[in-house]
Amino acid sequence: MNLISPESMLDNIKDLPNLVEKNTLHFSKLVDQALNNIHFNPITQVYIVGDGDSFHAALGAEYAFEAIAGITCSVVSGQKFLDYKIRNIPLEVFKNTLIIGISASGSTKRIVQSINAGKELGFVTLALTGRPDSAVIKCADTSIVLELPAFPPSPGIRSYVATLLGLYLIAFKLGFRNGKYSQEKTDLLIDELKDTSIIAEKTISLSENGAKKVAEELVNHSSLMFLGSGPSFGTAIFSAAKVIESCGVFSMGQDLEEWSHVEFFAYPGDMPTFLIAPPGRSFWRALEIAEMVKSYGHKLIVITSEIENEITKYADYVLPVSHSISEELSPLVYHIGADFFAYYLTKFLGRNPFRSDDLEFREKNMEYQKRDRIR
Amino acid sequence: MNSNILDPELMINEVFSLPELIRHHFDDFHQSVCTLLNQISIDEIEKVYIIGCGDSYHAAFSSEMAFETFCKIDTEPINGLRFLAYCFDNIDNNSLIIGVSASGRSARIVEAFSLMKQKRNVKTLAFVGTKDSPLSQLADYLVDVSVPFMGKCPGVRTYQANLLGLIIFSIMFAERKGKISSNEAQVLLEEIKQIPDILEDNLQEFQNHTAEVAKIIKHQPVILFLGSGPNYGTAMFCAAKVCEACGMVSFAQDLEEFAHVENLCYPDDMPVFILAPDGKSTWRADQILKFAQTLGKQVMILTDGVSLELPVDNRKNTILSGFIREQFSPLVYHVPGTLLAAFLAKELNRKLFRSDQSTSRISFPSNISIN
Repeated sequence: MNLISPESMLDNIKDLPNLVEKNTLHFSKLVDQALNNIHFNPITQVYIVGDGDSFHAALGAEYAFEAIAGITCSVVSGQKFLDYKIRNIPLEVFKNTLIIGISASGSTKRIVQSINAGKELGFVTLALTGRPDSAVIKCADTSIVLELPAFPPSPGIRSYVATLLGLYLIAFKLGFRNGKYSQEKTDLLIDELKDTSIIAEKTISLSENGAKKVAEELVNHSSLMFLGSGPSFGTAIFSAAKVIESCGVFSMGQDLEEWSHVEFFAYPGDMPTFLIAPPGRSFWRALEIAEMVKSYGHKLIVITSEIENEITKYADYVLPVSHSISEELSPLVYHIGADFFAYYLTKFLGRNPFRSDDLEFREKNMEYQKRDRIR
Repeated sequence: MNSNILDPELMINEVFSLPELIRHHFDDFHQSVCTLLNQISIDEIEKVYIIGCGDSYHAAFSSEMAFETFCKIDTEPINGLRFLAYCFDNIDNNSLIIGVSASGRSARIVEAFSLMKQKRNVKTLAFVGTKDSPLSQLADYLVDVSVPFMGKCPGVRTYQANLLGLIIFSIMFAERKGKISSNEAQVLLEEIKQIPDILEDNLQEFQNHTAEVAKIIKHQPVILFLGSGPNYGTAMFCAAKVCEACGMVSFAQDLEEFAHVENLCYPDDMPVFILAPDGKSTWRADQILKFAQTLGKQVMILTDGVSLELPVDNRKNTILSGFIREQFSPLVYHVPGTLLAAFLAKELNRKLFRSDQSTSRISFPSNISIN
C-alpha cells in the first residue's frame, strides 16, 4: 500500500454536500429498480448485515426503518450473523424478512458469506455496495450499486454517507410500499434527504475550526470516548473508528446509558469525551450525561445543534451542527465534526491514515486483510 | 480501613463463591422458571427482547445464543435507554419483554416496564435479585434470581445468578414450546449442574495465571477483550469489571470488528484478551489470535485448547479443563477476566469503584435506582 495522505480525508469531508446533492435522486432510482426485483409483500422486517463502517451506517439508519417506515430492523455484524443468527431465524415466522448485506468494496468476505447463507435458507437478499461487478452483487438476489467518482484512498467517509443514503432510501420506499404513507410523503422524505446537503455544507463551515482547535488541545491523550444513543450510537462508533483509522489513537464508541454504568469509572480523569447529542429522544439523557462527564473532570466536547444552549454550558468545546435535521437523518451530518477532528489530530501527530507510513505494520496487516476479501 | 472503601479481595471472594452459588440456587431458579411457565401462555411468542443496563445488558448478550438455538426464537439484547427511547413504539404483540435488573431498581428498566403498561397485550417478565422491588411490581411475571449478598463489589454473583436464570429459562421455554424434547432439556440441565465442578477444577489455575498476567500488563494504558456470539457479552462484562475494579481503560469488541478497526490502534503491544470456547466462532478466534500476534499485541487467550494454536508465551494463556457447551460458556468464561480485574486493582493499589475517592455515580438523580 502506498502512503496515504491525511489530506484525502479532508477531500472526503468537503465533498459530502456535493455527494448528497448530486446523487440522492440518482440513488433513489437505483433503489426503485432493486426493490422492483423483490416480489413479496409486505416486507415487515429487515436484517442489515455489515462490518466496520457498513455496520456503523446500519446502526445509524436502524431508527429510520423503525420510526419512519414502521419496519422492524435488526443490525448484526457479519460474523455474528453468519455463525449465530442466520441459522436460528425461523423462515416460517420471518417469511416477510429481507436481508440487506452491505459492503462498500463489494468484497467483504463475511458479508458475501452471510448473503449466501441467507439465500441458501430461502431468504430474499439485497446487496448494497459501491462497486459494480463485485462479489456481493454476484451472490445477492438483487443489488444497489452506489458508485461514486474515485478519490484517493482514505478512511471511508464518502462511502459511509453513500451507504447511509442508500439505507434511508430503502427505508422510505419500503414504508411506502407497505402502505405506511403516500407517494407524496415519500417524495417529501427524499427531498428532505437531498436537502441534508445544505446542512452538511453549513456544518462543514461551522465545525472545522473548532475541530482543529480541539485536536490541537487533545493531541497528547492516549484514549478518547465517543458517546451517543439511538442513531447517534452508530455515529459514535463511526467517529471512534475514524480516529483509529486515521491516527491509531485508541477511541471507543459507547451508548450514553452504558457509559453511566461502566466507563465513567475509567481513568484518566481528564479523558476527552465527545458527546453526540442531536435534539431528539435521548437528548434529555445526553444533557444529564454532559453534567456527569464535566463534574468528573473529563474534557467534554459536545456535538450538537448550533441553536442548543443548555447542553453547551457544560462543554469545554462545542462542534456545532447546522440546524435543523431530524434525529432519524442526523447520522448523515453529526459525524462531520469528528471527521475533522480525526484529520487534524492525524496532522498534529504527524501520522498517516491506516498507519501507511509504518511499512512493517502495513505488511503484517495487509497479509491478513487480504484473506478477508473475496474478489 | 473505612468500610466504604472496597478492597479488591471482595471480588476474588465473590468469584470463589460461584460454584456454590450454582449448586445452591440451581433448583430454586429452575423451580421459579417452571412455576412461571405454568402461568404464562407462550405459543404466540415469536420474538424475545432482553433489556438491561450494565451487567444485566452483558448477561442479555451472553444468553442470546441459548434463546436462539434452544428456542429457535429471534432474540434481541437491548440496553435500557435504547429500548425506552427508540424501540418501544415498534414492539409487536407477539413479543416477550424480559427485563433484567439485579436490584430490581435500575432506572431505565423500571421506566421501560412502566411504559410497557400501555401495551397490555405484550407480556413482560422480570429477572430480579430483589423480589420486593419496583420492577417486580410492574412486571406481569417474575423469576426470582436472588442470591445472598456478600458485600458491595462490582457485580459478579448477581451477574452469574441472572445468567444462570436466563439460561435455565431458555431451556425450559424451548421445552414448553416443543422445540426440544424433555429428555434433551434434562441433558442440558444436567450439563449446567456440572459447571460448579468445572469451575472448581479451574479456579486455582485461573487465579495463578491472572495474578501473573496482572503483573505483566499493569502499566498498559488500555486492555481489549474480544469475543463473539455469547462471549461478546462475556467480553463486555470482563471489560466492565476491569473498569469498575481499577479504572483502567478496557473495552470489548466483537472478533470480526477488531479485524476491521481496532487492530490499527496503538500501542502495538496492547494486551488483547481473546475468549475462545470451542464453538461456532473458534475458527475466527484462531485467525484473530494469529493476526493480533503478528501485529505485536500481547495476546492472552482463554480456551479449552482443543482447536487453537496457542500463543508461545504460556504465562498469558488460560486453558480451561473440562467440556462446556458454547451456550453455557459465559457462565465460566468471565471468571479469568473478573480475577484479572481484581488483581490489576491490587497491583495498582486501587480500590473497587474508585471508592477511595469522592467520585460517585449516585450523586446524579437520574442514575439513582428507583425506590
